[in-house]
Amino acid sequence: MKKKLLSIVLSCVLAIGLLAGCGDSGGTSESGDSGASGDSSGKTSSGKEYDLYIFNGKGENADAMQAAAEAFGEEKGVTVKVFTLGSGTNSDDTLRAEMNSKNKPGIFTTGSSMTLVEWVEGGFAMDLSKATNEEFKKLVSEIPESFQLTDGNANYGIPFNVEGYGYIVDKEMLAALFGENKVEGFIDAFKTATYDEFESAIKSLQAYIQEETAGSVTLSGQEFALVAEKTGKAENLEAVFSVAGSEKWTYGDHFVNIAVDAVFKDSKVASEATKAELEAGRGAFEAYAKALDLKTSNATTPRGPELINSSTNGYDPSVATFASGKAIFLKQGNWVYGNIWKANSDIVDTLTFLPVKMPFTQSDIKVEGLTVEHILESIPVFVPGYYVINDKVSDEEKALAEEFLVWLNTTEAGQKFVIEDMAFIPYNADPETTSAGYSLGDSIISYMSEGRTLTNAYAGAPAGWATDTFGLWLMENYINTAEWPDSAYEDIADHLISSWAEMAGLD
Amino acid sequence: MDRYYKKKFVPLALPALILFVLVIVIPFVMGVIYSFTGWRGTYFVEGEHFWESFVGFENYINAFKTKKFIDAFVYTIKFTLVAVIVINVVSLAISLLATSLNKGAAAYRTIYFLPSLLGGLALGYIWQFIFEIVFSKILFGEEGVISIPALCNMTQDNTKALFALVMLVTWQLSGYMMIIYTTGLNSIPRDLSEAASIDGASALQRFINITVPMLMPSFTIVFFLTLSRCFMLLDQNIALTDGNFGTRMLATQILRTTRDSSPPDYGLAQAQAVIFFVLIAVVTLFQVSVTSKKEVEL
Repeated sequence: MKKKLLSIVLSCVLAIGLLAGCGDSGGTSESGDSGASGDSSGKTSSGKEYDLYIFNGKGENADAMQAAAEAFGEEKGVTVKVFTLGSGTNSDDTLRAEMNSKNKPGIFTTGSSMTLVEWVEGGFAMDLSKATNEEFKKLVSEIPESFQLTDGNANYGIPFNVEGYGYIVDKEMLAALFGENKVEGFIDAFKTATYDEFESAIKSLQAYIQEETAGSVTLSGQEFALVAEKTGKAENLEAVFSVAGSEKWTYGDHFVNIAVDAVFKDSKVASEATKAELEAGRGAFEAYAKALDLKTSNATTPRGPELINSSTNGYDPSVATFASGKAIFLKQGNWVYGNIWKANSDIVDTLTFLPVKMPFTQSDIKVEGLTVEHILESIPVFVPGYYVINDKVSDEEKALAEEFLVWLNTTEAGQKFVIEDMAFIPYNADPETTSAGYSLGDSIISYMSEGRTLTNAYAGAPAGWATDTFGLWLMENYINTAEWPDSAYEDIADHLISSWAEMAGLD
Repeated sequence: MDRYYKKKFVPLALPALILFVLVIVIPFVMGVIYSFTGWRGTYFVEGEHFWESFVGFENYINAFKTKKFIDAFVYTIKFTLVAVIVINVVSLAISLLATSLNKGAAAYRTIYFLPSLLGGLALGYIWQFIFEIVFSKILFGEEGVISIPALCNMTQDNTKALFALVMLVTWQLSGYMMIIYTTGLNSIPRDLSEAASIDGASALQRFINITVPMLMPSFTIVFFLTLSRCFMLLDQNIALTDGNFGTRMLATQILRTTRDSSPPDYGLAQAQAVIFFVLIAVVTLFQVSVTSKKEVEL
């Protein structure tokens, strides 16, 4: 009897556990669904109830893409289905599941030539030279070479947009530091300044903030005196940089990219790197380590275990630190605009980009025609993702997909969605006439119009190298360490080369 | 009643059986097949169908050649060893306390049981906050209540993170295990203990010679549950450290394999999953057969 009672109680306990387990999975799938938008009920086993299916991997523009697709559908009298996962969710697994289903997407999205391999090997990505639509062919032929998505043989993608990054700075903060009338002069002088000037400027600023030693900074030979007393916006300052130490990608991807850019012309060249070419980049990689040292030792949180604490030094806290005026510079891209706006909408209209500086010498640079001056004065402007047409859908859907991409990228109605609703900078924008409509976007356009742009060569590194290998190693060994040994720069360059070579199978 | 069940066995078991076959057996068999192929998630390497893409044991050999997999393997075993012992000791201790209470036992049990109702990810993020802010800053930091460096930044060191994860899992599971132990303790006839104490047995002797043997059925279940759950730990591992500082456990490693490789090597991930399955099955079956032999029937 006792044994029977025990077994009943135990089964109840197990059942409760089971229910709790179900609750868990219910919760997670729901959170996935709530982030998803679009009409998935259109998918039935009997057949498809749409003419074109777009799988959109960019969570940020879910609503805008839906609206654009509806407008296009209305204009052409067709049904367009859009599926978008929530912002910040990796949509790769979902896309693969959709590719295995009967109703495959007609247009899907992918990030770079490295992630493209999967879709080319699987026969999903359509070689755009096979397109039938004349206008589409023209659109493809007009994509600038550095913005193309290729595997070396064929062209596969239409860019979403372009993005850029650098040191974000608030002009009003500069006004509080140097006086209202010096702001434009400072920005111009900063852009053309050498690394040595930049380094000593950072040190004087840090001393000014932490020890209240008034002084001046010299950039491009011009002297800018600091206001004697910290006033206004400068009062809250704690350090020069706001650093998201727990976000491996901030130094593992974008920051290191500046050095990779000095060695490889673009991501395609980088993806074909040999061990010797990587070795030749050692000087540039050591310059990266020096610039990283300077940045992390002048951050609002002292370098050490606390800097990689994700509760205090994650992405959002780093944006909040910058937005509340505790730091002068934040190294981020234009995608951070919405987050800054949420944290402190007062400063969003006066933001601008300044180039990231690293101590390169001309002998460090392995790209023909590239000069130290150009790197120091430019910001990387790159395509973060591409629309790809699925080769495995019907010819009618492919034709419609081509038509949609032409409509989105060339017509006034389509461009309105791209610029206004998605807040994108069109890759084919004419810098002279286009306005992004917000400070950071316009700042990128001004760099584009001056021709002061770099590429995103690091995207050619082996998959999983930048963030999860090199970035992780930096976080575990250097970002969490207050004192760097003398061998640190050499060690970082060594590890950069060896881990890249190992993952690319070059050893 | 028994005759009814015997007669209607097939129609009664069928719905569950169909579901089991559809969502467990078929995917499992497919998974085992895929582990022998060059499966890339959406296509097979060099072929339309899986039989054109067989690679033999290559995925299995590669799995054992992958340093990350071996590291995860070792770390998982280390974690499971520590966690199973700690959870069992803690849950037995609190259930002994619970049975000795006269008042408020139900409330006490409810409070201890609550954490097991929380999802793993939520728990992981709560504890991340506890380790990063409460431990590292408020309690044990340099400017905290008492400075204990060993309890600071516990998520930033391979060994410390193992104990951080043990703390989290113990907090989550011990209440659940306590309920099982409590039921087991309550089912031990009081006269046994009474008779022993009349014969002059001390409390410790009574615990070792009466409570422990009588508790073996509960112990079998608790040991099985903790062992399998600790081996299969995923959400908490991802939420707390995300595998940083070499804290990747096997389930996380399998999940991340497709992200470590481009094109995503689902064949390799699947091979790791099969190894993972065999490991858990062998260990838990061995444990159940050993511990259930020690069970005593009255």
